[in-house]
Amino acid sequence: MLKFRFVFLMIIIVTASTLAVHATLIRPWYMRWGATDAEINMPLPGDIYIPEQTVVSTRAITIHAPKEAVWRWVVQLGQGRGGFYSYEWLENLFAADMHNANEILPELQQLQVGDPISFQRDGPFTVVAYIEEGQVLVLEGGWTCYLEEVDDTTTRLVVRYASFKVNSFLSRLFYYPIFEPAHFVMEQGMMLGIKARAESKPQTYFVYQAQ
Amino acid sequence: MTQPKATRAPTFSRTLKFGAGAGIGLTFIYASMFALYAVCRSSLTIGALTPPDISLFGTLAANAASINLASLATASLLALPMALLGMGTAVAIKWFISIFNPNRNSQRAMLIGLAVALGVVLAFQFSMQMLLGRPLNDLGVETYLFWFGLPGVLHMGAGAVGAWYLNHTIANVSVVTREVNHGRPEIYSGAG
Repeated sequence: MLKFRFVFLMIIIVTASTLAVHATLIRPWYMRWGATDAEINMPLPGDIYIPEQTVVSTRAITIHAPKEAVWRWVVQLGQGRGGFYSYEWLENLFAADMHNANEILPELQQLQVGDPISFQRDGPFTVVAYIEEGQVLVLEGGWTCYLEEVDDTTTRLVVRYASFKVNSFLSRLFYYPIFEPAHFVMEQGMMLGIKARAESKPQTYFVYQAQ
Repeated sequence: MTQPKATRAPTFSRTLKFGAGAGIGLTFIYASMFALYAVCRSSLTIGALTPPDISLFGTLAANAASINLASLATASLLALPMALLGMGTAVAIKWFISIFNPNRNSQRAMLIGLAVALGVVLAFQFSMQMLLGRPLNDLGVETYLFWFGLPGVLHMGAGAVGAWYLNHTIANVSVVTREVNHGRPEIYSGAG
């Protein structure tokens, strides 16, 4: 019979090496996934809502669609609305009750400061802190979706996220090994989901249908 | 003549250790299975949608590492309560086997293990329902299956296998004890 001591040793080795690889190679890269140096350093309207002692990431993606087309998907973000276009099969393991929209919902195209945006059914929610029609959506806490027109048919979607306050041992223990990697998975999924929908590529449609 | 294999009796402390090991091991196995599934499924989306200006290899690697890290870290947090649950189940199984399976029948032992593990699973789910203050089926089918349904099935499977192992060990110890004592008649006569 396999010795338990050996199994525990293996678990410790796997965990330690995963942590080491993650901290040195993966994390520095995913905190700025797809973003240029200029995008990382550029001030965004949501920056003033970012509290102190938070960890900030800036990610970006090129979408081959006009800015207005991308905005229609961004403005309907939220649980109970258009969803977050990420991996809903993953979100629903955490009682999110998420259903990603695959079409523009006209009733959700008007968003105002103070409107609630939920992350989970009966769960935590935030509110719209700032909105600039067709350009930028900022949620309370500083989460910013910023659209930059490259040309008539190409848009850069820049997403800046500020974590909750990471200022105690427990919050660090939860944030770095659990929340932050999980948030990267979901946020890049969201950005890919927005891209697929805005570009409306028939060959990619099945991918987000399957989500 | 073949020498009987030395078998260590499943004492109370060894049973606790066995239950704790099984609980922790299964928690990490379940987390790893989930991570494998999540990595494969999300990689399909990433492979189909990642634009050429972002490294596909980097995105796949970062996605896989992130899912693995979050799963392992969550499993580490859950390991302690799962170890306690495993200890409780192992002790209960051993106790029930000693009472209801005097002939050390393997199938009967597995049935006892399954029943005890089912009882533990139901008690755990009832406690969680009390703690959350709402029925678990309110959480949604996927959430229930992921956090309670599949781990419950795994726990019952482990209960059956663990019961077989404990029963087997107890039976072996009995054989060894009989064979060793056979050469020492004073044990029976009470002499010496």
